[in-house]
Amino acid sequence: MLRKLKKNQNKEEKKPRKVKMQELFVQAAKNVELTLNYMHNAIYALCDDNMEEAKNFCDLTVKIEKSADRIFEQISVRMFTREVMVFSRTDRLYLAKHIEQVIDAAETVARRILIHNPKLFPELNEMLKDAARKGKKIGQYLTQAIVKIFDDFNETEKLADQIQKIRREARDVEYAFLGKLYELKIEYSDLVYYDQLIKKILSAINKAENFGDGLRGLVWKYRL
Amino acid sequence: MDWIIIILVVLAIALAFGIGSNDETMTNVVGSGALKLKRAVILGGLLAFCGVIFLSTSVGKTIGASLLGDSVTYNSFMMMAILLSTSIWMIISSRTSAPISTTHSVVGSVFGISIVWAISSGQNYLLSMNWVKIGQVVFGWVISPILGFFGAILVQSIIKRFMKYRSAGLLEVESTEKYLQYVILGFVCINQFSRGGNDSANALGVLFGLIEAGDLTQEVASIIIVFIGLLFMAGLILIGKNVIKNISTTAGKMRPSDALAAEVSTSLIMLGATLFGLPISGSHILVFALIGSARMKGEKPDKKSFRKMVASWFLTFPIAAGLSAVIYGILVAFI
Repeated sequence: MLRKLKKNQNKEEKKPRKVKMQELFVQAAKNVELTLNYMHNAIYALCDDNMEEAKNFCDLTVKIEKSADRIFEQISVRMFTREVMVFSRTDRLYLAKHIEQVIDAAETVARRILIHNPKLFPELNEMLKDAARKGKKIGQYLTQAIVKIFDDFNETEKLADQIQKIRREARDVEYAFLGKLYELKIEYSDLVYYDQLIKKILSAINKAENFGDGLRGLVWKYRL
Repeated sequence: MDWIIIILVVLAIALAFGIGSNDETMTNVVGSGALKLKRAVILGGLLAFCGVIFLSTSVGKTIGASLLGDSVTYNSFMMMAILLSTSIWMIISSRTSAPISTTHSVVGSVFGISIVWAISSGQNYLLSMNWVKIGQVVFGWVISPILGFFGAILVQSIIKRFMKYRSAGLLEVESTEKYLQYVILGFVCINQFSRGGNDSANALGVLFGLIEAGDLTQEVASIIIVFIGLLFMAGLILIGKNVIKNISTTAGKMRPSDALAAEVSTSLIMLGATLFGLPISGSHILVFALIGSARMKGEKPDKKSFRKMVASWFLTFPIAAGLSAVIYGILVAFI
């Protein structure tokens, strides 16, 4: 009896529990929230003239992006097993692919923060922080929307509406920021840096919004 | 046994192999992932074999013995003409990838030989066919796709209502679909069993004609039926698997709840017709059932493919009749 128990124990030690496909999606979704949160923190640190902290958050973003790549690979491999019904494979691949795209976009923002140490302008900083806050909020909503599509279509649809609303606000912030940027008549290198940074932040937000629209499309497809 | 009887039996067995090779009944099961291709074709082959053994007699008798009038005596040349014209038309339509029904082709061929018989023997053409039986068969051809269409609409509306309460999230949708996948498997099994009986009758009909003509004993015919069943099964397993594989890659994208309506409708009509001894086309019912199911979901069929199918449907009967008439005429004139 004791031998049998030990044998079973050894077996369990050797073979780690296989993570369910569902858990992989939840992990991937949480990475979206985490990456956009780190992007937000890095922008805040940049605006507070704390480049060291900004670098730390940027490193964390890059790290998460690498882990997201591994999760995407695992999902892709297991997509063609009996775990997933044939008809929903393309839609699940769509989910995994777009999660990766949003994370990639946030990582691009993080990398761009580190390429230059610009002169800080309080008027621009406030707007940058505002855009970063909206990015963080969208990350939270998007993560919830991804998790909810598996058990609550109604909630996913509501979250997709929220994402769309925030994205509209973020676009207003972008144009206000660009207007202010050209008003200030700052150095050329800083101008290019700020111009590119806000565009990259908006690119991450736009990708999240497109993904939100895609989630809404899936809800319409599956909910009769 | 006469040499021509041996040739006829070999041709009938070859036809059974050809029919089995074109059997795509298990497509939905493979496409939705309920069964792997290998298991699906083996299961399909076994069910088709059982269908040939237990269900083919009544449909086979309709084709082989009941379609011709009482004054007509079957002979080996008639059988030869039926088998050759059916095989030739099947080969031509396979090359042009037009969907045809073997059933329509065989009955058309019987029609063709009856015309030549009436002309060559100077008899009244009206006496050459059993018009009541012909009427029943044609009625079956017309009514079966219509029933398939409306049956699928009815079942689809029930499924739609059921799915409304089972679609809170993707996981619930998938678990429901997984359950429906096995319901489909059940209906596909009924369909394959019935199609084994109904489709094999196209090859078996000749045997009943030969028995009626006194060229074959019941005992020998029973052994040949087993061979025909085995060849039908072999055709499905060896070649039919490629047809199923090809179709299932596109049909696989279909949700089981979408395919279920068409499958329920087709399998029940097929079983009913086979039990009543009516030779019908499973492919035609399936196509109309799919159109009905799609209609219920607000989708429209591809008009071009639909026209092509209907055209080949209408052309099969006269062309098969013409071919068999020519072949039978040549056989009568020269041998």
